[in-house]
Amino acid sequence: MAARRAEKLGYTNIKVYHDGIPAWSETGNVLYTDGAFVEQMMGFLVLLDLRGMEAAQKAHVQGAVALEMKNLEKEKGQFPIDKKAPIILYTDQSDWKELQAAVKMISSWGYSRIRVLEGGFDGWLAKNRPTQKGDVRTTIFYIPRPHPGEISGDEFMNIVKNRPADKLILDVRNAEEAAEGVLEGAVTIPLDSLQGRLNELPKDKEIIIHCRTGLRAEMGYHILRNAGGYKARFLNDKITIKGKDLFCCYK
Amino acid sequence: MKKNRFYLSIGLGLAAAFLLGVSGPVGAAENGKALWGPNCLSCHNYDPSAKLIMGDFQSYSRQANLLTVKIGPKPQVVKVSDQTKLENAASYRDLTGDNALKIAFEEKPDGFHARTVTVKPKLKVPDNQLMSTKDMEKLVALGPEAGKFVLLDSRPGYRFQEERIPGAKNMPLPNFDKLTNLLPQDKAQMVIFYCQGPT
Repeated sequence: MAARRAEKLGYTNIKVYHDGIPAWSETGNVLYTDGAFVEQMMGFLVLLDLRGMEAAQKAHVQGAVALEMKNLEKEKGQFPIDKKAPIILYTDQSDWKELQAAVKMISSWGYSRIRVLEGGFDGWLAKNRPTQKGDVRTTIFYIPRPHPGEISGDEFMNIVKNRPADKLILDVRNAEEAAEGVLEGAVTIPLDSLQGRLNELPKDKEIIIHCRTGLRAEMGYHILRNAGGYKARFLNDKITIKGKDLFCCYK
Repeated sequence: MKKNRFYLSIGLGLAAAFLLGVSGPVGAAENGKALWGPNCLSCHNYDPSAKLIMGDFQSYSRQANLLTVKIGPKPQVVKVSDQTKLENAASYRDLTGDNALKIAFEEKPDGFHARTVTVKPKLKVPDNQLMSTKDMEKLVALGPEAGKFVLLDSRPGYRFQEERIPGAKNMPLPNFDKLTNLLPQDKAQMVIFYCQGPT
């Protein structure tokens, strides 16, 4: 532990903020984030330019949505349903004190991943990170970053309908769930016996795994990946099968 | 959006005692070291005689009785059953990505079976060293210079990049000895450490 090591070096005034990041952000305190992180997550976060419309139209961080700080409260309705959506705020310099009120407000709406871009737009420019000029979006649009191996709902539905010869649907729900209905042509192996029944699966077809919510399908994907030699993807979405009826894909 | 995270926890002494408490030799898994996460290895010495998975909780399926543990970036699926002992938690459903797990397992043809799943316990910090969120708010508002303190984030670099308390510098625990230049010259100056939380 860092504190004990510092003690050994002779430091006499050591403190530990043991509750750490979760407690800090829970109460609406500002956390900084790095431009490198924002650039890496681009497209999968809510990026809010709070410098005012005029400045944002001149230039803004690529993918940013311009909102007026004073109108923030009125925009509550267009924030994403997913309260874990990463929300990044910035101004010119992003001084955290200037953004504290905005962070507290959004935090009070239940969002748990609000961060302020350290260095602000000026810092972003200084690092030559991607910007856009001209029209700036004013409506929030959020899609979560797909997990490795995730298949889109559209592609999954295409495979279900057309059943291409190079793909195999693997249903890893348990027997009781499968009794209510199984997709046509799907192979059913309950997840808890998958590791022991890998030899039933082909290596020359791509295996498309689904369950009921995506949780077990993802575990199945990791089992196949760790076993090696299999080509696989999984549906990370809710799916209900009742007889011949299929309800799927909410993302 | 689920996040793939692993965290350093503070408190080496207790953690070492925690590891030593595990059962005796059980023959090394073939690639046993691959089952220990890099963060775990920054404090625990790899023990080839202990058949253990050391990593961070990722997900649990009640229907399938399976746990996914992240070993560094790599997810590993492990079976649990009524015979599996769960230590330091009431239920697998209480676990989050902030929980480091130590799993004693048996390897069978149908996968890894957990004998014991031990959740890393909350580590103790002496009361006189503990900082509250309120105290932190005051100091952070002053800033390191005016407040005469150094604020150090013990988490891995990629976590620091994602989020940090204003004024903090990154001193990942595994690199502590290489980064002592981040500590103040004056050994009486206040040094504050934090990480992901007390798990």
